[in-house]
Parts: sequence; structure tokens; C-alpha cells
Amino acid sequence: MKGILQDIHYALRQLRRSPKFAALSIATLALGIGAATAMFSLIDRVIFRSLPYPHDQRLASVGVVAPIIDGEFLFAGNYLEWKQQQRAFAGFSSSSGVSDCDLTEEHPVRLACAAVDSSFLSTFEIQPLLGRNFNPQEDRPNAAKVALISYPLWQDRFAAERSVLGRNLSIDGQQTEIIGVLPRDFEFPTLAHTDLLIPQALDESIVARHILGGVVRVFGRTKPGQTIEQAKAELQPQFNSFVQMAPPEFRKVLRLEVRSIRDLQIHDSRRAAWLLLLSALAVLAIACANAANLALARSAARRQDLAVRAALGAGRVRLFRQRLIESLMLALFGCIAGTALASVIVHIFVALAPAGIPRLSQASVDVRILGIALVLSLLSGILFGTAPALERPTQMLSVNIAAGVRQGRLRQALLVAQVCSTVILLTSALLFVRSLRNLQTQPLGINTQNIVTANFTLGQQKYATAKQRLAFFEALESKVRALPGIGSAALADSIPPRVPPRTMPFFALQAEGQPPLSISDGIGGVVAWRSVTPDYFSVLGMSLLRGRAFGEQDRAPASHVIMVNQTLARRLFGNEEALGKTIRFHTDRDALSAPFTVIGITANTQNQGLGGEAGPEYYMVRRHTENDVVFNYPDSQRITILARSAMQSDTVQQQLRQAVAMLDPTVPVEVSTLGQTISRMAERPRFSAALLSFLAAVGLLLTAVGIYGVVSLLVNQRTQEIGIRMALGASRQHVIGMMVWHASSWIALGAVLGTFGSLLASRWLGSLLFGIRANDPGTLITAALALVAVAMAAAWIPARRTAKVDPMIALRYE
Amino acid sequence: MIQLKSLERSYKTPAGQTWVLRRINLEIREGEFITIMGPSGAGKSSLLNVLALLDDAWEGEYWFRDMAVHDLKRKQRAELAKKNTGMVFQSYHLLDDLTVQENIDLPLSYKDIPRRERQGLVADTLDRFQIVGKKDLYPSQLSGGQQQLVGIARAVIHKPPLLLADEPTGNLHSTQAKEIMELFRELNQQGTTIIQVTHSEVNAGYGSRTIQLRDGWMVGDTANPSAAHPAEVSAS
Repeated sequence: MKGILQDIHYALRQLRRSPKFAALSIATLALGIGAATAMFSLIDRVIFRSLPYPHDQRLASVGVVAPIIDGEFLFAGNYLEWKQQQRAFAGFSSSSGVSDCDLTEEHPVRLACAAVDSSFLSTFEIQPLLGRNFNPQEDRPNAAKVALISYPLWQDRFAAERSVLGRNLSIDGQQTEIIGVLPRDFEFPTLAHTDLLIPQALDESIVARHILGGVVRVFGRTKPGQTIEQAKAELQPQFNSFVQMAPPEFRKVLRLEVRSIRDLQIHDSRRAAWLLLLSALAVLAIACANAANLALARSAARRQDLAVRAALGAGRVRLFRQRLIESLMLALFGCIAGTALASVIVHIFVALAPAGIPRLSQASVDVRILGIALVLSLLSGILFGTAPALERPTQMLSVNIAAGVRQGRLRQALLVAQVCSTVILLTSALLFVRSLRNLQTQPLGINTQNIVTANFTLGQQKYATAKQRLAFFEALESKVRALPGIGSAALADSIPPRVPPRTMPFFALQAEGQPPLSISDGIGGVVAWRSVTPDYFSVLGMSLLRGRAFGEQDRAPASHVIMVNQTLARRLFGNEEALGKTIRFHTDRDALSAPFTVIGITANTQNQGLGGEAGPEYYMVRRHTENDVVFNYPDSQRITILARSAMQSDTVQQQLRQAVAMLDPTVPVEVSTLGQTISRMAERPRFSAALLSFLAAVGLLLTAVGIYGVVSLLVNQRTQEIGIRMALGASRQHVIGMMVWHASSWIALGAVLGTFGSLLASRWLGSLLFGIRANDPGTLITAALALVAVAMAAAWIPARRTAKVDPMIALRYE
Repeated sequence: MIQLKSLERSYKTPAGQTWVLRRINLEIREGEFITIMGPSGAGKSSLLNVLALLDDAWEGEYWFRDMAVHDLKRKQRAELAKKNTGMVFQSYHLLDDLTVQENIDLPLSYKDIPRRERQGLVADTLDRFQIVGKKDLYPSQLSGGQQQLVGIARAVIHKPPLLLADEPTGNLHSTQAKEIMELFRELNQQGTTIIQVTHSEVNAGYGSRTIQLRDGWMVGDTANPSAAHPAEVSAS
């Protein structure tokens, strides 16, 4: 123990005596450890950390996947039936979803209400912080309204008073008793923001009446010792019954899905998160290689000192331990600096991060992360300290050419590995940046300039009927049109490039004069549709290919006209003219019972989100009737105003807010420009590109420093050789060129290996990119050339010092 | 061939200016074999470096074949040295990672000589110095005498009129030293002007003229006894 303390003391003294070496090593390690720790903090919540539910690995999302609804689901009738029949899960519950609800009290506020089954909390094994869960009696239609409130709502609105239990709230105008407070770490399994948990009150009689009911999301907890896959297999009989009950066209496309809650939450973030973690580890490896190279260089300089110690009796183990302790001391200092750096990086990236990345806002450098940083640092210390520490004392006693050659080869191998890793990092970052640029510059089929949008949702209680909603929207349309400076304005239930909230299976559209889709073809995919006012097309600057756009005359209650996009026209009518033909809908909705005449064909617009492929779409005009098709849908209270104006967007936004407020001041409105909305849609790929670019930049910096260090060392080691060459006639340019050429061979080897590595990684990256192949030759070449350019510059700077070598002095190194 | 007029060399040190060569006046004729002698610190190697044009921080006049070296720019001096001088070092200064053949080729590689011509010159030199059998060996595989032989071959491969040697036999035993000195004599007889620095009276005996240095002053010249600075000598 005393010996170790002595070694620590000696190590600290050595580091004090070599402040440049110590500072450079610590800075290198701090960068590597900082970047790796920061990335780990950012993705820890996504990949590794337990979900805030006991035995979370036993929780699953259960349902059927069908193309018309996003994600797995069941109809309420199926759910109630399955709940009775299934034996696969110990707990089986559901939610009708999270929707807006208004707290209509003294200070009205819009909240997010999650409607759930009374078995929801018990399935997730969540205990309320205060109060109790619903009982089955409270989870029935017409039961007295009760709710559990979220921890933040309890804190903010009720000042964390325990007396909140038993108090009544007015939710959408209905008295609702608070029966409990949710725990602080409660999160809804779909990660939707939740203020209130209310009973979904499904009507159990629908099962006997063979009514499907609304869509619910179903969750299950497997029995102890049973896997999710086993539970899925046990649900197969229920799923088979579901398929038999489905319309024949759907049967082929239905699929049973049972997956973990973690997968439900992060399935599309997992690959990106792993990519970031691997990239961060690559940066750490580059930092370790740098530190190892510095240590090797110093080892050469300290050979004399160590030789004397060996000659005085220090054994190999003792010398190894002493040098390893030095490395570990450096790693510890690097850990301290790196953790501080990680904290700063995490704060910056959390602040920059877009909304919607699972749990990212909770990322921080906590005790767990500190522990991981410490482990990473110690591993780094061992990794970079072992190579020089393994040098045998006998090798130090004299100038040992073989040992020098071995060390030189090790240094070169480390540099090649650094360059190789950095090329892979650079290629990945460049691919992400180019993919992002493709996303942002893809043709959308609309003109986004000078368009302001306002989104809002009418309260369920206040605007419960179609008549009330229609009245509000008609009054709003008049007001918006009358606003000064507004060139044109329209209302729509959604706008591109977002995926429309409503779709229709293709088989449900019967084109005039065309054969119906065969049952064996299934549903034929889905067709998006939007409900819009006539000026929608002109506001968005959409191209009309044939026919005409909607006019006021088409809004009469008896009018039945439709516009289709180019893709849908082609799919429905082939090469025949679609204009003037009719489309019938095979559906039980009254508003769609009459045939609709095609009056116009538009060019395609991007309607599957950024990065999707434009699909078939049709447009229905918003008619002046409460029987309009849009009011057949439960979410018809949502609306978007689009206004094109040459005025400042702030002014237009203010005008739109005021127009809504004049009709109902309690309706919260989100205003934005269309350009901003689209830009926000690219936030996640932008964030991933920023993180990867950051890692690639750190990797590049570390590699450049590494090459600089090794070439500096070479210049020092080869001073005599340089002197001889100059004495024999070599010019200064010649010796500089020689040093750079020497470095360039490792750089080139690393770049080639890195390019091959990038090609291997491309198989894994492809699904994260848009508009660019992961093995894009231009990107591979650009990344390799960029690295080579930076690396050559890093080699050239110290190589220039050879020009200062005085041959006379160099030749005195006898 | 060479004329030095009042040539001086000094270094700035924290303790002040240190003079290593003082008012050197020297004339060297074509074909001479000159030995520079003197105790350690006398300025022998400094004078050799000046003559080899490795050092250019001196003051005074340096004429090389009627060319005013003192008026030449650094690059021109390097060019002049490349063409006219060859250097032989006490520690041979062969490059460890190059073979004998490659070491000999080194001075030629810094000139614009076609590869084929260079190969011919190297082959001739290997033959002339009778080291053809060792052409693929590395310096560490040779004895000291053999290494110095290679060093001399390398110094004369481009046929410089002036060969400068700094303690060329300092690291060799007497038999090897004798062989090297015989080689120098032979080269001198073939027309090469040789200037050597040595402590050895035996080696000096191979030369035609000896210059004595002390504390930077030229205190003796067997060819020109009046060129010395007796006043400074007596002062030292």
C-alpha cells in the first residue's frame, strides 16, 4: 500500500514536471470522455435505463396492425372480448387515448386527459402518490366522474396540498372528483403528455350487441416467467377470430403485434441512439489512441530515467505499476475535466433538442453517469497506459533499435486506427447532413413562402355538435377573409407535408367505369384525404393539372364534387380521363352515400411527412352543412387556418389570433409560418445530424492533434537524420516533404480502411437516411479527402520545424 | 580554390558573445591536403563547417573559386555546397534504415540526375571502393571501418572537388584508420582537395599542410608561418 502511495506521489510529481504532456493528455482524454459521457447521458434514458414501471420488461403493447390506423390497436368491442378470453397476461388494460380537455373553472386551461381502463394502474403496477385508483364501478358509462391528477398539476395548480383529494374540478363542464395524485415519475406508455387520468368508461354491452366501438390502445403485463413472445403466441386464437370478423379485403394485411413498451416508445429512435453511442465510443477510442501515443512518446524520452531505476533494482512489475499509476492519474484528471465538459455538452444539446425524443429532457450527468464516466476513464487509463508500461527494463538500458521500431509501429498502428475511425465518423456525419439537406430541399408541391398557419381545437363540451362546430368555422372563415392585408385564406383539417389524419382504404373507392378491386388484392393500400375550403389550393400554390378548383358553388349542401391528385387519378382511372367521372364510396357513412364528381386533378404534394413518398390523395370541399362528411369524424373540431399575405408574419399571426379570440377567447391557438412548421418537422434528423457532426468534429480534432503529436515526435527523433540529409544536399522543402510523405502513408492507409469501414457501416445506416444511399460514393470520397486534407495539414505544421533544424547542431548529436 | 579574409564566427550566449573563430585569413589551393589541428574548443569543427558551407552565420569574406560566397544568398550557398563539397563524419552518419547502396545514392537523389545515371554512378562507386558485396547490407551489419568507407564513398560519389572530413578515424582502431587515410591520400592524388580535422599527428602526416587553431585564432600554418597571430597566442 505504501508503495502504491509512493507511486501516486511520484506520478503527480512527474506530471507537474511535464506540464505540457500532462495538459495535452488530460485535454485529449477530457474531450473523449466528455463526448462519450455526454452521448451516454443523452441516450441512457432511451436505451438502457428502466422504464418507471416495476418489472417493466414484462409490459407489452398489444393489438392488431392495419394500414388505416397508426400503430397497433383494437376496437373497444374486441378489447372487452379479449380481456375476458385471454390467459396470456396477468394484467390486461387499455386506453382510449390522450385528448384535449378543458378545465372550465375560474382560470380556464386546456389539459391533456388520458382515458384509461380501471385496470390500467394495476397492470402497470403504479401506486398513486395520494389517494386511490378508480374502481370498476367508476369506469362505467354514466358513472360519477372521477380523476387522478398528475404530479406537476398537483404542484402547480393545487400547491401540493394533500386536501386536494375529494375536491371537484369542472372538466369540459362536468364535475369531476379528484380521487388521487399520480406519482412524480408517472409517464403514459405512449409518452403522451398527461395531466389527468380519467376512466374511459367503455360500454360492455357493445360486445353482446356486436358493435366494434372506438379504437383503443391495449397494454398487457405478462405472467412471471413468461416472455412477450409466448404471450403473443397465446393470443393467436383471439387474433384469428378478429381476422375472420374483418372485411375480406383487410384480412391479408392484418397482423398481430405484441411488443415491449420500450419498443413502443423508442422503436424509431433506437437505431439512431445506438449509432450515436457507437460514434461516441469511437471518439473515446480515438482519444485513448492519442493519449497512448503521447505516453509512448514520453516513454522514449524517459527511457534513461527508467533505465536507472531498473539498474538500481526496480523490478518489471514495480516499473509497470508505477507507469500504469501515472496513466490512471491522467485518466482520473481527464475524467474530472471530461465530466464537467459532458455536463456542459448535455445542457447544450438538451436545450437544442426538439420535442418528442423520448425522455431526452430528463438527460443529465447524474451519479449513475458519473460512475460510468469513472469506469470509462479507468478503462481508458489502462488502455493507453499499458503499451508503454509493458516495455521491458532491459530494453531501456540501451538504445534498443528493435524496441524503437516496435514502438514506432505501435504508434503508426494507433494513428491508422484513429484515421480509420474518424473517416467512418465523418462519413456518417456527412451522410446525415446531406440526408437532412435532401429532406429540407425536397419538392413539396406547395409554395411555403408568406403563409401563416393557425391551429386549434374546439372544446369538446362547448362545441359538442356538428352544428356548433360548423357555425364557428363559418363565422371564422368570414372573419379571416375580411382581415386587411390577407391575400387569400383557407380552412383545412390538415396541411401538407403532414400525413392527413384521415385515410380511406383504396378498395372503398369505386371509380366510374372501372372494375372494382378484387378481394384477393386486399385493401389496395390507403388513400389520404383532406377537408378544405375552396381557396386551399391557391393559398398553397398547388398546381392544378386539369379541370378546376373548388368554388363557392360547390359548397351547397346538395353538391357532391371531389378533387383528386395525379397519383389517385391514375390509380382509379388508368389512362382514361378522370374529369367528369364519378367516384362512389363503399362505406356506411351517410355523407358519402352519393357519387362524387371529379372536377379537378392536382399535382401531387408531399403528404406522407418529410421523407415519405407522395401517395394518392383526394380533397373534399367543406360544405355549408352540418351533414358534411368531415363532421362524421370524431376529431372534426380540429382546424387549421392558412393565410397568404405579403405582410410581416408577426402581424398576420396576431390578426389570426384576434380573429379566433373574437369568436371564443378561451380557445388556445398555435400560430406559426408554414416554413417554420416544416422546419420543425426536420428537427429530429437535424438533431441527429448535429450530434453526429459534433462527434465527427471532436474525432477530427483529436486525430489532427494525434498526427501533429506523432510528426512532432518524429521531427525530434529524426533531427540528426535531417541534419545529415541537409549536409548531403537535401533542401529544406525536401526534408519537409519527406516528413509529410512519411505521415501520409499511414494517413492514406487509415483513410482507405475507414472508407471500407464506412461501406460496412452503410448497411446499418441506410434506414436512417433520406434521398441518399449510405454507400454514396461522393460522400465516401469527400469524407476521406476532408480527413486527408486536415491530417496532412496537421502533419505539415510540425514538419515545417525541420526547416529550422541547423545541420551543424544536428550533427553534434554524436 | 578558397580564400578566407578576416572571417569571424561567434555565438550569443546568456553570458555574452562567445567567439569561436577570430580573424581567420586562409588561402587553400586546388589539390592541397590540409589538416586542421588544435585542442578541444579551438574552433576546428567550426572552421570546417564554415568551409563546408554548413554554417552561414559568419562575418568576413569567403571566396570559393573567385566566387564571393559572402555575397551569396542562403539557397545559392546550399547549391554551391551541393555541387562542390563532400563531407565525412567521425560517427559516419549513415542512415540506419537505408542499405549501403541507398546511403551512397543519397547525395545524388538531391540532384537532378536521372535514375539510370545515378544507378550507374552508385555501381561504379561500389566497385571503386570494393564494397559491391555489401551493397544490400544495413549500416548496423558493417564494422566501423566499413561504415566509414561507405561514408567516404557517399561523400565522393558526386565527385566534389573539395572533401571535408571531421575526425574521420576518431572511432576506428589504428589498422582501419590507416586504410582510411590511405584512401584519402589516393583521392588527393587523384585531384580532390581534402581538408581534415584531426587530433592525430599520424593522420596529419598524410597531409601536405597543417593549420593550428587555438581559442578561435589561427596560430600556425606550415605553408605560411607569417599568417599566424603570435600576439594573441602569447596573450592566451
